[in-house]
This record gives sequence, C-alpha cells and structure tokens, in this order.
Amino acid sequence: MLDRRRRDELDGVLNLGRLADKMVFALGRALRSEELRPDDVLACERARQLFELMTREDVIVLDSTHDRMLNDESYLDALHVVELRAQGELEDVAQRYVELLDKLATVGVSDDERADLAAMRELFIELGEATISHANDLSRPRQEPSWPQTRHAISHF
Amino acid sequence: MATDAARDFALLAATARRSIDDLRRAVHAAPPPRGRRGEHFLTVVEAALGALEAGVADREAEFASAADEQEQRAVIRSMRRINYDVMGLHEVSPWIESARGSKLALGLVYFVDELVFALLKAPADVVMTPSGTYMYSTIHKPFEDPLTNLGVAYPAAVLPIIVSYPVHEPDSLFLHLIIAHELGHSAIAEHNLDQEVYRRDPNPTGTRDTLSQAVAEYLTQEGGTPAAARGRLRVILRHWLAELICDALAVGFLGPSYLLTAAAFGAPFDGPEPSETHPPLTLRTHLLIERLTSWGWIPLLQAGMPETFAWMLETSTRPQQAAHRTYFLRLEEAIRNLSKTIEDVVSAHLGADLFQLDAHASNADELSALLERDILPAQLLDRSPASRRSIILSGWMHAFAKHGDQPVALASIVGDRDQQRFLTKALEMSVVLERWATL
Repeated sequence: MLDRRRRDELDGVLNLGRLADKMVFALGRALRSEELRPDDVLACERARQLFELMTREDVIVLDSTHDRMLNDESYLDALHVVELRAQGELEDVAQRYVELLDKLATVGVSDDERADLAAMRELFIELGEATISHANDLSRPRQEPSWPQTRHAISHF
Repeated sequence: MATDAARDFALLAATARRSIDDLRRAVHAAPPPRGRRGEHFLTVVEAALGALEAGVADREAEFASAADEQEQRAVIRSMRRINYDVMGLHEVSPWIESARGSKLALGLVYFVDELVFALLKAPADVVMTPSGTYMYSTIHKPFEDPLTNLGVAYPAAVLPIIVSYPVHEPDSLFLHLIIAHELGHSAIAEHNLDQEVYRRDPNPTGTRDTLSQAVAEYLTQEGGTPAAARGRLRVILRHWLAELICDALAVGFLGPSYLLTAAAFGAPFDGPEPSETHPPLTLRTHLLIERLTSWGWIPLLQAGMPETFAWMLETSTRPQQAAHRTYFLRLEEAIRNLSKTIEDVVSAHLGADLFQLDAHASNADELSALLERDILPAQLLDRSPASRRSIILSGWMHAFAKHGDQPVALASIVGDRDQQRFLTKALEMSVVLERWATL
C-alpha cells in the first residue's frame, strides 16, 4: 500500500497531467480560432494560477483561490518543465504566460502572440509526458526490504 | 486499418474496462447490509468504478474527434492516467474485506469513532485495515481526486476514512493512539487548519524574513533557482506544519497519553535529525510539552512518572542536527514563532473536546484504585461511565507503576498486551453503559 504522502504526490501528479492534457486541447482550439468550451476556460484559469505561483516571491502562499488539486509537489513538476524551456528566464516566461492566458480569456490573442501560444501548447505536451513518467515512478513501492535475504528475492516490473 | 495510436488507445481502454469489471465483481461478491460499517466506503468505490467507466467512454469520444496527432497523444496519456486510477482502486481489495468485518476489539472501534467526531466534527465511515507496513496511516475521502476530475460529486453523505495499522499490533491500544494524529491530517484537509495558522500568524513579516533567509541558505547549499528553492521549502514547511498541527490535535484530545504514545512509537526511529516530510522528533517532543504545559498537565506527569518525563524534557532540548542543511534551522525558527498560533487554532477547533486536567483529576484516584484491583475501570462509583480518555490515561499511569518509571519501560508497557486488552474492554463497556443510559 502506498503511504499517504506518496498517494498525495501521485494524485497531484495525475491531476497536473490531466490539466496538461486539457490545455493541449484548449490551446489547440485557440490556435485554430475555434470557440473555447467551458472546460477549456476552466483549464486555462487553473493554468494561469499555476504560472502566477511561479512569479510569487513568498514561501507561504495564502490565497483562497490556490488550486488544492494541484499540490505543492505537482507545482515543482510544472516548475521543472518551465525552467528547462525558459533557459534562465523563468519568472519572465511565467509572467508572459499569465498575461497571455488573461488575454485569451478576455479579449483574445493577436496573430503576433500565436507563436507564444503554440510554445505554451508544446510546454503542456512536455508536461503531460513528464507527469506520466513521474506517475510511473510514484505508483511503485518506494522501499525495498532492508533485510538482505528478502531484498534479492523481490523485483518489480 | 487502425493506426498505431488507435491500436495503443484500444488496448488501454480494454485494459481499463477489464480491471473495472474485476473490481466490480469483488465489490458485489458480498455486499454489506445497509447501515453497517463500511457501507459508505463501498458506495464510493461503486461510484468511482462507474465514473472511471464513463471516463473511458469520454476518452473514446475524444480520441475519435481529435484534431491532430498531438491531441490523439494527449488522449492516450489521459487514458493511461485512468489506468493509474484503476490501479489505485486495486489497492482497495483488502479494504473491502475490512469493510465487511473488522478483527479489532470493539472498544477500540468505538474509541476511533469518538476520535473522529472530536477531530473532524462530523461522523465518518471508518474502515480499519491491517497493513504489512509498520506504520499508521489514514486515507481521507478515498478516490476524491479521480471522482472530481471525472466530474462526479463525492457520493457519500458520511465520509469514509481508511485507517491502516501495523498488522501485528491489533491489541496495542497504547500505540493505536497514533490514529488520533493520523486523523488530524483529515481535519486539516476538511477545515483548512494549516491555512488558518498562516492567517493568524501574529508576526507575518518576521516569518517572511526568516523564510527568505531559508531560501537564501537553500540556494547556497543545494543550488537551483530561487523559484525552485521557494517551491521546495513550501513543500517542506507544509509537511512540517501539518505534522505539528496533527500532534497538537492528538495531544489536545488525548492529553499526556499522546506524549507517551509518541515517545513509544517515535523514539525508536526518530531523533534530532530533520527530514523533508517530518520535523525532528526532538522538536515535536518540545512542542508537545509546550502544549501540555499550557493545558496544565505537567504536574500529573511529574508526579506519575518523574524519571521518564525528565528524560522526555531532556530529549526535547536537544538541538536539531541539520548538518550543512542550515535552512532546516530557519524552518524551525519559523515553526517556533508559529507555535502559540498552532495551539490557539487547535484549541479553537477542539472546543469542548479539549482534554483538561480538571476533567481527569476528579476521577483519577478512583480509576487507579480499580486498576490496582484488576477491576474493569469502565464505571465510576456514582454508576456513570468513565471517560474513555481517562481510562487510557489511568492505564498509562498504572502501567508505569507496574513496569517501572524508566524510559525503557515504554517497550514493556507496549508489549503488555493483556493489560491493553483489559483497557480496551473497559472502553467498550464504558460506551455500552453510556448508550444503555440513553435508551
């Protein structure tokens, strides 16, 4: 049985992955100039909050709108993928995506901004793949028995 | 001819359906009668199976209408996530068995119900299940996330909670008090107690400065970016705060009994070293003693087990051993600054369920006399049922008198299963008497 923390972490990673999958569809529709569906709007708002968290300078985040489905560990997964793509400009990229998602939800994005929207979609594709990999790790028992006689007798696929 | 993606997807969907069918058969094998323990839990399992089945159908529709290869791949990932949810559901098989009948003594089951009501402020459908892992843990509202993600409202009016206990400790009443701590995690989730502590921080600027220092030290010692350092410290602080709120809830409801249980269960494994998930046991002990001091319990400990309590006091003053990871010391500073706030939040949450010395002291001598004569300490001379918490605390006191007032006695006290079975029977009869009186 997975312990509570590992289960919470797995739930958070699966939730983040689901958000990433939904964003692939939502941003795909936006790039094709199709109307966003209610689910897309919700996903974009959750993604906006995630990017906004990356721009915050405090360790303690006191915000009633903070998305509890995306726990702090899944935030770190998201942060890692954004860091890899942002190449040292993490806060700037996160702020740019916050603004872009704000626009998408209100006035819409201009043609000049479509390249950024496509890059954001690529980011969510990568995030979706990364979370599957992490979920795979988390869903396996963490500790091998410390007793040597049983350690060699146990393996995992 | 189907594409590779279509074949992949078809296999994932078929596998999910097969597993869902297997689990459904297990749930239907012997349904519990209505109104029995475990009924609400099994309702949730049924709902989760139904939601996952609907989720498979939704993914099939999404796959059929995917606009490009990237969307097809996203649906395949989504289907794999459903398979992870189904895999998670496979873990419930032993819980289903436990939901149909517990091997635990009725007195313990009743006492856990009492704990649940005091800590969660609502009844719950508690399923207690043995685990091969030597640890206590709880799962609050199982399958809430998959159900929410699949757009299904949580189906149980009474929330299920799964409580796991070490399989070889069914009669270890004193260790089972750890369940109070574990239920604290559910209380935090239901009542946002951690956020409440942050909100009530009397010196948020001081806390922020301390944590900024922690971020700077983390960057020096571990490297990475400031955003990652903040994120990692946010995770550690959340874990530490949760553990300390749970400790405070447990000691608030159980009084000194929880301090003794924490020492018996924790000291063999933990010491002054911090981890990313738990504060050092020494700090936890220090804060437990702070709570007991505020709530007036120290004279009882000093009178009943002076040597053992002196050892605990000495343990609680040992400095944290964080080695080069000095950011853990900053987290301790932040936590110590929040200590009184934690106490206030927990006091307010427990309300009348806070265990106070006065409530115990009036019956302590009588319960002690019954235990000395091997008479079940379930009923007082005035024919009223003895308080369950006083039965347990008197049991601890009696055990120290019997096994000796030394820290090493904690092992033999926990090993004295006959004594704990006796106390558990007293818990049961106290509840029976209380319910009998209300008929």
